[in-house]
Amino acid sequence: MPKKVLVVDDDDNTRRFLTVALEENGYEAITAEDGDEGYRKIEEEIPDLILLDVMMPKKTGFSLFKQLRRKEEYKDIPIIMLTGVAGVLEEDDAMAEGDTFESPFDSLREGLRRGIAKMREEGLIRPERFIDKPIDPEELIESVRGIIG
Amino acid sequence: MSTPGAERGNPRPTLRGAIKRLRLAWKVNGLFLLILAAALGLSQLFNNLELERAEVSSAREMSIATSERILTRLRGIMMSHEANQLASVVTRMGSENPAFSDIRLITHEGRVVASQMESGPMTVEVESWPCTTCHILPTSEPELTTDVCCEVLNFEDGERALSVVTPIFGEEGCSNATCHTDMGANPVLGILQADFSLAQVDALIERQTRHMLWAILICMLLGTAAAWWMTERLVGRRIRALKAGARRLAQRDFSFRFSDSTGDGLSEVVAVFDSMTSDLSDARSELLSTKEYLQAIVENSADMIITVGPGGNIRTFNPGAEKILGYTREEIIGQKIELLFAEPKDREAAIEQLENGDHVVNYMTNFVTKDGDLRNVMITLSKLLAPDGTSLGTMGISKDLTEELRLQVQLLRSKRLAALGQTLTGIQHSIKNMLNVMKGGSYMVKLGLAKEDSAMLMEGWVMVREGIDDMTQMSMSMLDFARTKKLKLQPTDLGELVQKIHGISHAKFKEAGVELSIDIAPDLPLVVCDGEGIRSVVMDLISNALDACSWKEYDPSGIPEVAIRVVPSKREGHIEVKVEDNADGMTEEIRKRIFTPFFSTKEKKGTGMGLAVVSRIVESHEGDTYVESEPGEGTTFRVLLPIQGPSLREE
Repeated sequence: MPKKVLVVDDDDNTRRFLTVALEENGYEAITAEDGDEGYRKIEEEIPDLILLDVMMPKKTGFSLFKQLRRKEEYKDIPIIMLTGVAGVLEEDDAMAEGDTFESPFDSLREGLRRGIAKMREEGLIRPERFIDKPIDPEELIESVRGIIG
Repeated sequence: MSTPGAERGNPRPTLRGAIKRLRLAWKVNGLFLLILAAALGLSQLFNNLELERAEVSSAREMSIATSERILTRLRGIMMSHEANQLASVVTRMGSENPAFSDIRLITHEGRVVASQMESGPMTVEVESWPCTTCHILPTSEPELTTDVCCEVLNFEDGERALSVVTPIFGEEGCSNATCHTDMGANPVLGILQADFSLAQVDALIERQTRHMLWAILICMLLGTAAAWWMTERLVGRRIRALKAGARRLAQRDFSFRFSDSTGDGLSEVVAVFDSMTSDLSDARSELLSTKEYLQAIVENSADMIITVGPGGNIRTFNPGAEKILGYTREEIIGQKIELLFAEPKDREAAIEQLENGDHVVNYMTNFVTKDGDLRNVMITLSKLLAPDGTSLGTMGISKDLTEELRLQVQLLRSKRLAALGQTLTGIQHSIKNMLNVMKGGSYMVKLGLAKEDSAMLMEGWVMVREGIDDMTQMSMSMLDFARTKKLKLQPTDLGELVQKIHGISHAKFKEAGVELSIDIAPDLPLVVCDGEGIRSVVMDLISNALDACSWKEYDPSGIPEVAIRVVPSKREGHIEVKVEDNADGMTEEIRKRIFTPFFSTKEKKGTGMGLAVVSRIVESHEGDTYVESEPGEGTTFRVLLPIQGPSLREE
C-alpha cells in the first residue's frame, strides 16, 4: 500500500507537477487548493506526509499547520513547508516579537519568522522541513523519502 | 477740582476730602486750645476785677468806719481844745493800725494839722491832685465836700492806697475851740484824710493771679499733652502708616495694605488709600502682566522675531534670532535688514508683496548667519502700524526650516529605500513563483522525454511556456510602470465606458458567483481623459474586487457584490468612479502599501503591479485615488478625475 502525501497549494501547476513527481516515485498524491480543503482531505484520508504551501489566500499554510499541531490525532503527521522566501529556515532563531502572523503579506520574511517564533513559544513541534521555491521535484522527493521512506 | 467720585455722586470717600477733614481736625484742635486759653484768661480778668471790687469795697467800708472812729476820738480832743495833742494822737492811731499808710487832718485852708507821715507844718494846695476829687472846683473859694468820698490813689512807687476823706463839720461847741477860725457859710471846717494801704489787697490779687496763671499754664500743658496724645493715637500713627505706604507705593511696592476698623474719619482716608493702592496695584499688575506676557512671547520664541524700521534698519532682534543667526542684539540692531538675506532681492520681492496686503505668509527664502551658513527660512511678514495708521516698519516671524528640510530629504530617501526594498522583495517573490512553475515544467519535460510520454512532455512544456509568458508580462508591466506613456486625451463618456466594461465582465463575475452592478448618475459631463487608460484602471479595480470576493466565505444569505458607480464628485470640477465590494476589506497596514509596486497579497496570481499602475494612470490625469476599507467592512476605491482633463503642462 503506497504512502499518501497531501499537496496543499493554490497554484494549479505546482499541484500538478508535484503530483506527477510523487506518483512517479511510488506515492499516492492527494491535492487541495487551500487550507480548508486541505483540512477536510486530512480528515478523510489521514495522509502520511503533507506538503504545505505557506502563502495561500483565505487560510494560510501556517494556520493549517497550527491547527494540525494542536490536534492530538494529526499532530504527528510530518509536514514539509513550501516557502517563496529564501533563508527563513536559517534565520528562524532570530526572534521577532508581536503577532501579525495572520497577515503574512506585509513582510513575508518577517511574517514567517514571527510565525515560527510564536509556534515555538506555544510549544508546537516545528515543521520537519522548509523547502524554498523554486522547488526541485527530485530534491523534494529525496526529502519525502528521508522522512517517510 | 472735583474728584471722579463726586461727579458720579458716589458716597465713596476720596483721599482729598479725607485729608481736608484731617487738616480741619488739626485746626479745630488748635482753635480749641486758643479758645480755652482765652476763656481762662478772660475768666481770670473778670475774677480779678470782681475780687478787686469786692476787696476795695470792703476796704472802703472798713476805712469809712475807721475814719468815723478816728474822727470821734479826735472830736473829743478838738472839743476839749487840746489841739496841740492832735498830731501825737493821729500818729499814735496810725501806728496802731498798720493798714493806714497815712492819716492826715487838714483844715479847710489846706493846712495840715496832723499827719502820720509828714512832720512839721505844711500846706496842701487844694488845686493839686488828689484834693480836686473832694473839693468842688473851680470856685475861687473852694468848698470842701460835705460827703465822705473815697478814692484809690496810685503812687509812683506802684503802691496803691484807698483814700477816705471825711468832712469835719463845724458844731456849736466849736466856737470855743482854739482851732476854729471861721464859721461862715462853709460848714466844713476841715477834713480827715485816712489813706488805707491796698498792698494787702494787691498782694492777694497778685497771688490769685499767679495761681490762676499757673492753673492756666498747667491746663494748657495738660490739654496740649492730651491733644497730642489723642492726635498721635488717632491720627499720627496712621498718618505715619500712610506716609510709609505712600513711600512704598512710590517704590512700586503695591502689596501694602492697612488694616483699620475704627470707623472714624481717618479710616475713610485709610480705606481710600487702600482702595487706591489696590486699584493701582491691579491696574499695574494687569499692565505689567500684559507687557510681560507679550515680552515673554517674543523672548521665548524659538522662531526669529525681527522688526525693521521704515528705513529698513533692524530695530528688534529676539533671542531666537540671536541663536539661529549667530548675531548678538547689540551688533545687529541698526544694521540694514538686507544683511540677513542670502539674496537681497528676495527681501525686495517680499516687501513688494507686502505692499498689496497686510501680510506675506510663509515666504520661503534663505538667511545667512554671521558665520556665513545658509539657513532655509519661512517668513511671515506683517506691517507694523501705529494706532494712527502711520507706518512703524515691518515685523517678520521667521521659522528655520533647514533641519526640517534636511530631515524631509532624509525621510524621503529612506522611504524610497523602503519602497525599493519592498519592490525588490516583490520582484524576487514573483520571479521565484514563475521559476517554480518553470522548474516543475522542465521536470515534467525531462520525465516525458525519459518515458517517451509525449502527453507529459507537452504538459511540462506548456508549464514552462506559461512561466516564460508570466515573466514577459511582468517585465512588460514593469516597463509600463516605468515609462511615461503619452495620454490620448479626448472627451469621454465615462458612463458609456463603464457600461462596456460591465458588458465584457459580467459573465466572468457571474461564473464566480459575484454580482457586478453599475450605477451611473444622470447628466454627467464628458471627461477629458485617456479612455484606454481609465478602462484599464476600472478593469484592474474590479478584478481586485472579484479576487477579494472569491476569498471571502459569505454567510448563506450573503451575496458577493461588486458595484461600479460614476457620480459627480464633491470636489469642484471632478467626477468620481467608485468600485465597491463587500468582501473582507483590509487592515490599515495593507491599505498603506497597496499602491507600492510588486506589493501583492495574492501570492502567485498577481504581479503586484496592478494598483501601482492604477495610481500612476490616475496621477497622470492629475486625479487622485483613494481607498476606504476596514477589516470585515468591504473596500471602496474612489478615482477622482478632473472633468477638464490634466492641464497640458508637459506639452
